[in-house]
Amino acid sequence: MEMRKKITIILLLSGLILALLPLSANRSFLIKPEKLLSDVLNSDVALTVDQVAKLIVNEDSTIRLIDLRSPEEFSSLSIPGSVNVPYSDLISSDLYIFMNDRNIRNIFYSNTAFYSNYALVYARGLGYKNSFVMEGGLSEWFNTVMESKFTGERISARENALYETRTKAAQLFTQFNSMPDSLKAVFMAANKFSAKKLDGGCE
Amino acid sequence: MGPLSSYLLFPEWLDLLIAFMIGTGFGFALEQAGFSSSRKLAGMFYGYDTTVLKVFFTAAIVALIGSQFLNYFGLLNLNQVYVNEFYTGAAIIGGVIMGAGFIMGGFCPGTGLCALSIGKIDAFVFAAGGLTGAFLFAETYPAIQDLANSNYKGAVKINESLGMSPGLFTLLLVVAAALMFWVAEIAEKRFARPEITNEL
Amino acid sequence: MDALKKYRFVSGVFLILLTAVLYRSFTHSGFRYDAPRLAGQSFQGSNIITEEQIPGFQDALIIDMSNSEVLKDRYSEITLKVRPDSILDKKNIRRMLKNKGPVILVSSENTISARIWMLLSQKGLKNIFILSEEKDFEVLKNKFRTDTLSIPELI
Repeated sequence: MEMRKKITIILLLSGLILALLPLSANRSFLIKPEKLLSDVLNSDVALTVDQVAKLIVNEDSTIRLIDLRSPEEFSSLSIPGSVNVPYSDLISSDLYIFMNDRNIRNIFYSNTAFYSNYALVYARGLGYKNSFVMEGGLSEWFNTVMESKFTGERISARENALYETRTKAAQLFTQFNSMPDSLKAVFMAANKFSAKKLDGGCE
Repeated sequence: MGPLSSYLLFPEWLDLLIAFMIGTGFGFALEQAGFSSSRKLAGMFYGYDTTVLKVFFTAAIVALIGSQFLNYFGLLNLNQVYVNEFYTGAAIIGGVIMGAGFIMGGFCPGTGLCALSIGKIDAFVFAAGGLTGAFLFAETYPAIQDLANSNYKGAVKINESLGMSPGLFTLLLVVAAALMFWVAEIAEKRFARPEITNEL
Repeated sequence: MDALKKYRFVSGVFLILLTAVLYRSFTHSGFRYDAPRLAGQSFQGSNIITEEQIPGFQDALIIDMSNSEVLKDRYSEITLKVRPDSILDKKNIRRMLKNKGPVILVSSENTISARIWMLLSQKGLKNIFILSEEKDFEVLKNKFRTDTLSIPELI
């Protein structure tokens, strides 16, 4: 009887401690602060708009562009192939649903540097190493890719390649965003990510 | 090792090895608690032996408390632990079928395998019955699909649907368990059967 | 005393558990709980300020992570020059925690400030702002010209 009473009391007291703890079912960062700091200060987490342009032109399927702006902004203008997850939705949902595939690089972008970089640190802090950011956001995309001009015959091979990629990407961007909303909706429906569920149980 | 292995990226053989070791531990624990005896298991229904309730419920609340503490100390991420999906209709019907089978056979699926491993003939038949049932389910699935998938509630946790913190729910469950054990002991005295001793 | 002796196993386990929990609650040098709540100030630019607003703050502390000396010259008493990779040093954190007024993050690019802001907020530090040159938050200034002449291709 003694052992049973002891165990019961221990369990009851543990339950009492737990009941008093400010436990919330919500998420908190898993990485240690120092590690997260060095991760996010590393230049590897950012992709330049040129790198993104190249990935789009090549129809690279290992990336997923995540547009953090509002649905209205997204439907009027967006990078072809990107998915819309408004920043407020991103913060309040469980990222596991759509960021769990380690083989897909998720690239956040917004109009400027704020939302995308918040999201980068947030996702990486929660353990999603496959999170990246498009440096400069849509503003930089416009300034570099859309406004790219032919600067004459005497340019190096590298500059020529850059110019070609930018032109192609700008073309795709223009064509996609000039489509009527109905066609855009069809295109985007084909690009929707499928919700990933937790695996497990006796199924 | 679900939540740990997705984070630490264990190789598959290590995952399977850990699963094997956990399974071994589980079978060992069941056997030494005497669960290979169908009398002990049926005793839960007739009231003369409530060991099943005590063992399984104690295991559940120890795991609950342990996982809550591990979550607090950051060693386990409870958001990555699998939660069963809840289909109301299917759960009720499945529960009734399982309960009836439990009493008639004197085993539940896990303990049936335990008894099978020590060579009991009725456990062999029970396992064959279980596999037949699973086969019939698969074969008739198109017909019973709607029933099986009715009233989908998602992967809800009790504390979420009651709107309380997980810690508070843990405490309530521990208190409820202690009360249940106390009632169970009273029931044991009341429904005791002299011809069936408490040692198997 | 007798009763105490009887329960020494139970109280022993209980005290160990209680100590571990209390230790963890108070020395939690890592990140705090509830990441969504801690990210609350990041919405709609509520944590962004411009330079004109600095004099209006009481007890402000400027964390200057940029390479320029401009702010240090203008607000030398309240500016602390910190390199981004040493933002988590104990003396810097202590200085930020001790400060009664707002902590203002400055760097050469909004990128760095934004990342550091999120990191510090998740550690539980409150009242942190980002200095930005732009008054408007997350606004796209470029115009897009639709091209209705080219044939749209479904990619």
